Amino acid sequence: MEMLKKINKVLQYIRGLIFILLFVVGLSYLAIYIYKYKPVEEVSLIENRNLETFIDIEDTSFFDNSFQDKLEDAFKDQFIYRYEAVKLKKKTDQNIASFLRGAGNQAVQLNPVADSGLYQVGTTNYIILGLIEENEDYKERYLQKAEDINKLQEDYPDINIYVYYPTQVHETAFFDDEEKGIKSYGPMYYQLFSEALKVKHGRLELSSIEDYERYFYQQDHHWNYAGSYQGYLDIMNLIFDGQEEVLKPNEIVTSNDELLWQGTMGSRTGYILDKEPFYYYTFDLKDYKVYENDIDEVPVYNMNNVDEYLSANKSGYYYDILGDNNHYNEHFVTSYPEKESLLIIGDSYASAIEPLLCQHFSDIYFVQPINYRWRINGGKYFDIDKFVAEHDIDNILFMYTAENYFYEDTYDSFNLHREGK
Amino acid sequence: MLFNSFAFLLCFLTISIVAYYLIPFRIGKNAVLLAVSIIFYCWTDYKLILIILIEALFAFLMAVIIYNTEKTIKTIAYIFSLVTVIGALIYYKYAGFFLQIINSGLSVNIAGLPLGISFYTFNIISYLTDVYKNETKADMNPFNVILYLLFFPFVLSGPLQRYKFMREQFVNRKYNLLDIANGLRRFIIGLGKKVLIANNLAIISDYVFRDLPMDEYSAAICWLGAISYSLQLFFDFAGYSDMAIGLANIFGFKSAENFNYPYIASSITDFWRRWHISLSTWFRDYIYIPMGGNRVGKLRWLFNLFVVWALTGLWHGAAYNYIIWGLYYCLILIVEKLFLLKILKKAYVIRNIYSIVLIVVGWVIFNCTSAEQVFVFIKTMFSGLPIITIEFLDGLSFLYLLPYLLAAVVLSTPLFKFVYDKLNNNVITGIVVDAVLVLILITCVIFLINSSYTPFLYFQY
Repeated sequence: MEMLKKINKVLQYIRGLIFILLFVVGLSYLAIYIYKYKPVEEVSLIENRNLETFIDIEDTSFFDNSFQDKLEDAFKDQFIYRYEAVKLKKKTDQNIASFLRGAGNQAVQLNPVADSGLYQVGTTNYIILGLIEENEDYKERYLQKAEDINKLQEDYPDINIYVYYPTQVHETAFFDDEEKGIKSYGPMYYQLFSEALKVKHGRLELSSIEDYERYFYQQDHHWNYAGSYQGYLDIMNLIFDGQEEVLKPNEIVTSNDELLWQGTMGSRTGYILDKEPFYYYTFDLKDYKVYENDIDEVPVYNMNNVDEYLSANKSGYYYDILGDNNHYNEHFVTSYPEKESLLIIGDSYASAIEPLLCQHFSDIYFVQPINYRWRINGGKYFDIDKFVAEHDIDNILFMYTAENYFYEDTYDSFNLHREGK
Repeated sequence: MLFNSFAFLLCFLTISIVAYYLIPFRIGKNAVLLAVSIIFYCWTDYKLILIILIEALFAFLMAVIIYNTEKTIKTIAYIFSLVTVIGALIYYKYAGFFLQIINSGLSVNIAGLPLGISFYTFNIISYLTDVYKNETKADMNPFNVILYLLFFPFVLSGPLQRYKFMREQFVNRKYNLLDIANGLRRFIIGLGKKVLIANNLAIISDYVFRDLPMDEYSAAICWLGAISYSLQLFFDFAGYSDMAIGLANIFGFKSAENFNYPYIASSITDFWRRWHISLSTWFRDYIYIPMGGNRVGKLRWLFNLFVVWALTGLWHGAAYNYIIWGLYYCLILIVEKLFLLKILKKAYVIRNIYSIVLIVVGWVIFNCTSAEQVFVFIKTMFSGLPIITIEFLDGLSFLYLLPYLLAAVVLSTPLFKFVYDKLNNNVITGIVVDAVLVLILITCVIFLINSSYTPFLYFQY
């Protein structure tokens, strides 16, 4: 018995020693490997930010705490298998939530996706933003926006002004459930907006969840090939009232199974769900040129680079496929100088339909006011009066998605800032 | 520097351990400990170290004076030293609060709150009081006093230590490989409590207490929030104490326990014997008993309790809710001591329910940001049965965190410790324990990495 106790004690010592060595050597090795040998990753395309690296630490000081902050951030950002760890954590969270909710979920139920602030539609691969909440400020901003547009039409009676509203799924009533108190106020805001508008307007009609699934990417908030083509048809109808022949697609092309994609929602959830193929239409289009920010001619966006993009497995953002997001205005010079011009004031939803609209206008100017405020010239606002005075504009099309109407921090950038008007 | 940071885990801790055990002599080891403790303290703001160093040297000098003088001078020196260190605490921690109370219109521009000031001030007071009462000698080595106050495992959040106990270990401590290994194991357990349990429960309680509008409160969500906060607080603090004690063990030091399963308490009196034990005993030994404790008239006894609990509340923070929280416990303890304890002794199970309900309500008072929120929150908690339906669960954005809540409930009982001790004492099952601990450490790392993932909020384009 005594002997057994002694043996146990010796073995416990050995076990303890191994544990201590494992801890100290393991953590030391990990620290040295991350610091010295792991290839430095400088940019996270997914997070759209520069990662902290140990190289930056050389310029820091212990006394202003920059060394401490950067060291911690560098370890986090440069940690081995960082994205895999994030994905594992987020996927586990989601699996736990799915398990607790039970299988056999109704298709239209919204399930919060862990800590992302997003929702999974039932157990499908579709991830969406949270339903639009009731907010007095939102209401005021929609009405103000309608008033701004009406005023613009009054001031420029020779210009035809149109509004097209790309409806998104989180502003529909598909998920409303009175008993549970679940409601999207999107329909109410659109109705208010529509009633207040005095110019011709229309929107992407989503009459069922199937429409949404047909028109949108599974894990991106943008419309897909079918949605953007429907948007093109709606806009053509809005502007030309059936008097102009519309383009018809030649074929649907799809990326192969190895070249799949996920968008913004995918990155926000940590890419926990399956990717989808990237589909697009091909059209017979006449040439056009694109000038960015009034100066630079840039390559024409087309779908030829989709494979390249997908194989490079970049950030997973829509703008990587359909054009750089940094411009504040683009000028499309088309092959139809005899036609009228069009100014589009909107957001990235326009990117997919610009090439198609180029077949119906002489010049298309695409302005993203959000970029004036956020990216250009330290908060300079878009001046529509100046723009109209400097360009020969026949038609103006407003086409923003919901968020850009009601979010306070960007609302100012969409207010027309027409002093004295 | 936080124990649950990569800088600590990957650099500071490993370098400290290696440096400490490479130095052969005790004095050298103490010097290493002092050096790493200074770096640890300076990590957040190097300027703040001056305040603690000045206070440490002041305590060292005053202790020498108190120890070497008699009667009046001794008492004057003792009172002067107490006034000075308490004055520093009031200045740094409470000046703004007191000026707000008297509505003076004055404002104070204080450079920064020295880290752990509440803890090291109480350590200084206990040292000076023990010297004054001749319960310990004044240390003639200032480095021992500085190390006592700055010792990095305990400096930020305790447990509070008695000088006599620590000094004994500065000069005479033994190293045992099993203690070191068990220290590491305890550190990992504490890290797990903090990172895996407390941080996740904080998401639930923050949502309920901070984000949810009061008009959306329901009995179920309020109970869920209150229970989550109660467990978050316990696992946060107990986890930190585990890490601190584990770290001390790694360097050959021992420490008294700070928590003893407080949520299984059979009364509130019992709860305060189990929760933040080092603080409770400090108040007992240095405030309550010197004031006469319960060996005085009833009115004086009530006054003694009032003072102790008002100070306990105030110690936790410079705000009204902490004082009210302290007085809430004062009231319950008075009722218990007057008659309720006798009744509770026979009321098995009911006494545990009684205790946990009052404790949870206490944490609601502690965590709410306004009197209105306290009132509405508690009223809603008791407004009806907290029925948890499938619809209720489906609507929770934090549904994925409920397993952590359930784990927290189980782990707040002695069950885990019982199983852990059984398995850890056997070599074969001990290897399984070590494997699980490595897994916990890896999981903690994954959770820490996850917090750095900030995908671009691209949806307005």
